[in-house]
Amino acid sequence: MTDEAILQLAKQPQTREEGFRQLVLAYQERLYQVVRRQLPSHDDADDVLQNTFLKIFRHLDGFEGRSELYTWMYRITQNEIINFFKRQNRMKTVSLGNYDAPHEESPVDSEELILSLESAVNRLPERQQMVFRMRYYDELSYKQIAEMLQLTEGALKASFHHAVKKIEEEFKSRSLL
Amino acid sequence: MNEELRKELEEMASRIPPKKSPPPPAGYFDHLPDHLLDRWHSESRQDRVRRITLIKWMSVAALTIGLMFGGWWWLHPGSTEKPTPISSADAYQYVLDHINDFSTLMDQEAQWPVEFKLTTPDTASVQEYLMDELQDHDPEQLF
Repeated sequence: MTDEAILQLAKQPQTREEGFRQLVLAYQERLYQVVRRQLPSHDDADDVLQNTFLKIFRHLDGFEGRSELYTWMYRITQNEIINFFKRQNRMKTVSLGNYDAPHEESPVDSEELILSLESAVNRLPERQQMVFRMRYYDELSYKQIAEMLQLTEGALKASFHHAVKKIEEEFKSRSLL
Repeated sequence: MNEELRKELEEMASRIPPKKSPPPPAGYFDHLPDHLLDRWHSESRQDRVRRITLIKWMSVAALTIGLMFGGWWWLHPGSTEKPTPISSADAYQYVLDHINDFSTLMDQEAQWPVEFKLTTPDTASVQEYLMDELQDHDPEQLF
């Protein structure tokens, strides 16, 4: 179902519930990955994800379509993650994560590489870090990232490519590749 | 990983390892929509109850304030204040203390009508007056 169709359903009182259901079905997995990547446990991620969707339901009438629906929802998600860490007395920004500690439930296919990738990303300059995480981990399009960061798509592509090159150089220097 | 991102990384000949996101428990996504809608309905009900309770308490508060104000108004009708008498000494002292406030009044004295002004008549006028009065009388007889 397209975003327009979902919004059409959700904004009418008689079909609002169906609209919400379709919204969750369309985006639950993607937003779960965004949350889960930054939080250490599934229970915390579940809590944040539910709060995120409830906030989206509450404010959906105010969505004016100035950005893509997913971009808007992504912003709400990041704010809820920040609120979660504030409540937990740990302040983390979008560009930083506690990637030095392994995820408890992370698959162990090439765990050393995954951990090395995370720590290499942490060492990138701030903007490159943000762009890399939003593109690689959150799989946002350049258009969506440009809307949020107020940068051109060309600048974002260049930033992402530089970030990839730096990470690969670090991997080579550590003989991981 | 989505196809567009995969192609981009391939074009860059990137060898960044694939990302592995921890999966949720089995069946999590099957139940999430229903769970969310249940919470949404529950919160909407709580909001309605909270709004009604707030309106009720505001009405009670408004009524109470209205009754208190009305009661006070009924028990304390408006009263005129009687001026307290002041002694001559206090009045005199007041004038001395605020003499400058009366300066405008004193400046106006020069503009008073002629009939209110006290003047001493001259000698010629007095003699003329006496002659008129004593016209039919013998002065020897008077003294």
